[in-house]
Amino acid sequence: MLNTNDTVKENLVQAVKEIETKSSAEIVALIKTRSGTYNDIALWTGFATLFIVFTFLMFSPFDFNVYLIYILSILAFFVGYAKVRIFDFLCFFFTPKKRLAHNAEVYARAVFQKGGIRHTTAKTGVLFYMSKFEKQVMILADRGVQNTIPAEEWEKINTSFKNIFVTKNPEEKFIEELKNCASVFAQYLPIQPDDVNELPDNLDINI
Amino acid sequence: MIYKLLTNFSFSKLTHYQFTFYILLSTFNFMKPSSSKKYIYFSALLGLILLLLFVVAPEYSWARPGGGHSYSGGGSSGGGGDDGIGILIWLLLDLLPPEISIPLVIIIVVVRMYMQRKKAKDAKSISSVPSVRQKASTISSVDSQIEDFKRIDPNFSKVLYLDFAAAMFNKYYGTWGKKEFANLKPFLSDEEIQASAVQRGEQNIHEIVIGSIHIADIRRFPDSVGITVDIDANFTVTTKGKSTRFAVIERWNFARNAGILSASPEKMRDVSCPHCGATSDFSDSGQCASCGTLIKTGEMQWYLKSHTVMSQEAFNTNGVLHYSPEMGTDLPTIYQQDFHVSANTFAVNHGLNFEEWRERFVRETVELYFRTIYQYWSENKLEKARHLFTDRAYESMKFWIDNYRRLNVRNKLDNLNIQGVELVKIEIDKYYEAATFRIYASVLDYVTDSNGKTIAGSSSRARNYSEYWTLVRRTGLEKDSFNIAACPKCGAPADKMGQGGVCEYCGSKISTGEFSWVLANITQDEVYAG
Repeated sequence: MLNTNDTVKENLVQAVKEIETKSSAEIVALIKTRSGTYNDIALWTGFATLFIVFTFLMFSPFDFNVYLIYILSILAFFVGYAKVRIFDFLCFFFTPKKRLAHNAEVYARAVFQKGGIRHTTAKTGVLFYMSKFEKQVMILADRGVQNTIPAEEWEKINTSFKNIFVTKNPEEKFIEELKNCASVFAQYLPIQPDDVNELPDNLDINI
Repeated sequence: MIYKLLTNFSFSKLTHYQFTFYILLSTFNFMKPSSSKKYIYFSALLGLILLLLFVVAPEYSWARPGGGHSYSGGGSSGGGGDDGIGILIWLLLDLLPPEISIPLVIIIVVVRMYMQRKKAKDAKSISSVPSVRQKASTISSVDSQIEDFKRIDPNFSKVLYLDFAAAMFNKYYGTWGKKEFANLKPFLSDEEIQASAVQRGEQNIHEIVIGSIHIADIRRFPDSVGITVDIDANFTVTTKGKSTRFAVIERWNFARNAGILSASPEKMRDVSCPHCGATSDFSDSGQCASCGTLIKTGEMQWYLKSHTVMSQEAFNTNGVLHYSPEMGTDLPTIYQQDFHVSANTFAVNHGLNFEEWRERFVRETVELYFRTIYQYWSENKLEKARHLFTDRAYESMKFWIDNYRRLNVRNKLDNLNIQGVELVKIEIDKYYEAATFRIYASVLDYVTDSNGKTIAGSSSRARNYSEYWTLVRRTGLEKDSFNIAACPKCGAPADKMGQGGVCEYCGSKISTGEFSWVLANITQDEVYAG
């Protein structure tokens, strides 16, 4: 019995296979839940909540017991911290968008490096990296692919991937867009008669 | 109360965060006689701090879930994997008033469960790297490619082909930077010859050990055939007198012209003249020094078309002391796709009742080999079981034994208990038969130093595991079992087999499976894909 992740994985492997049977590009696709922990965001939110509550308690027209001021201030910090740790949408809301994009890019580049995607002979490695929390898709292509596929095509591919997060099921959409790329790769990087998959099956992509 | 706490708990079970709050709570206990309102406030405050540090930020308090490779085992046995949280919940219930502690404990449990689930979800990634199941389907398609290929080349034998590929790998790196490398020219493409021109003479590659080798793909073109082989190996590179050992995964692409048949076994086991079988000694033009035949690339034998280093990293011998938790024991067994067809062919070829044979073979051969090899491994005397291995399997296992010896340690395997053996694959070709078994067992697996002190693993907790063992022998042999302490050819004691697996009494090479089954491969369950 396959669970949802297994099904997504099967579809992902299949999508990559579809591209690689028509193109000499070496594709690696990775879907990650998040590219960072954002603990500092939770801490800052905790401090901000503490400050607001403490200010209210101090300058409020109502009288509060001194112990209550102490306890509620600390409680405010914990609540502020916990709400960001527990609710992802709040963490996303409080995190600068530039940082989200940066984290996803750093993670993707690390995978590209550590997974040895750059080691293909003709520099045809491509990484499609989707980071769900950051709502980012990074496409990193090695020199051989970048030089072959025109910028206009890259732009189209990048735009189509940007739109996947407005759908209900971004993973499925990611796979669908991946399949749509097959024709571009086949057109500009057609498969060679003696093409051999150069990336190992046990690619290390855990950072 | 503090005395009670100090005497009741093992501090070794607590992390430093837990310890801090343990002390805090104990100190706080003295405040009980003070005003009840103040007491309630502080109870709530302490409870909240606990909630944050033990639940909301669990990564700080549970640094090593699962325990990594530590097998301390002894000492306190309670707790059952609660990482100390049970103690803290008990503390809360004991020290705080129930109107604070009970809701707090409920919140702790619920939030902790939620956070753990979230953390597990966050750590998960889905990649296009095939799973074991998907690899198994790829391998079964490679198996069917091999079967198809055997229709046009009935001489093709996977065992022999991999012997040839391994010999090429050994020769390629073994002669790297030396003048003998030129002898490989008839077996290299122009591209490979050009690439090798940059090799540096001051680099010497030696101690080449192939850990695993398998066919990844077979491709047929109108005028040629290509076979891709993945090789997991390690070797030592010495540059200017300094050595580094590397672990590599390489993909080698062999090819040959269409329409020719594979060479006979003696010409496939080594890189030799495909015409006369003499050890490779060729002129610059590719003429055999022994028979004078001009060997043109791809006309009579496989040649290396290209190769790619897929991964390379410095190898650390201290890794032999590292124990990872068993990962694949619970994975479902991967059976050959058309197992019953192969089994039936095997039974017909040998005129036997397959079920009876399987039962007897497992009992009299597989289990016997398993126990014997484990015994000699445990004694660091693997050479005593030399006749039970193919050359490649022996070299790869000996590599580990040599590492143990180098570190002056022993990997002891006590109380071996075979729990079950399943036959999962049978391969038959013109020259070889291969049978793969999944063996379930448990053993006390630990490493001792020269004083006999356990330095890794556990000598008291048995490790349950499973492995896939592949045995091979020459097609046509009928006898399955023999006296394991004797040479299967001449019956003399198997005490003089030498590194090459040749019986010094009769001069027969035993390790090729000419006379009996030999162990060709051991694959861990988490990586076995068929």
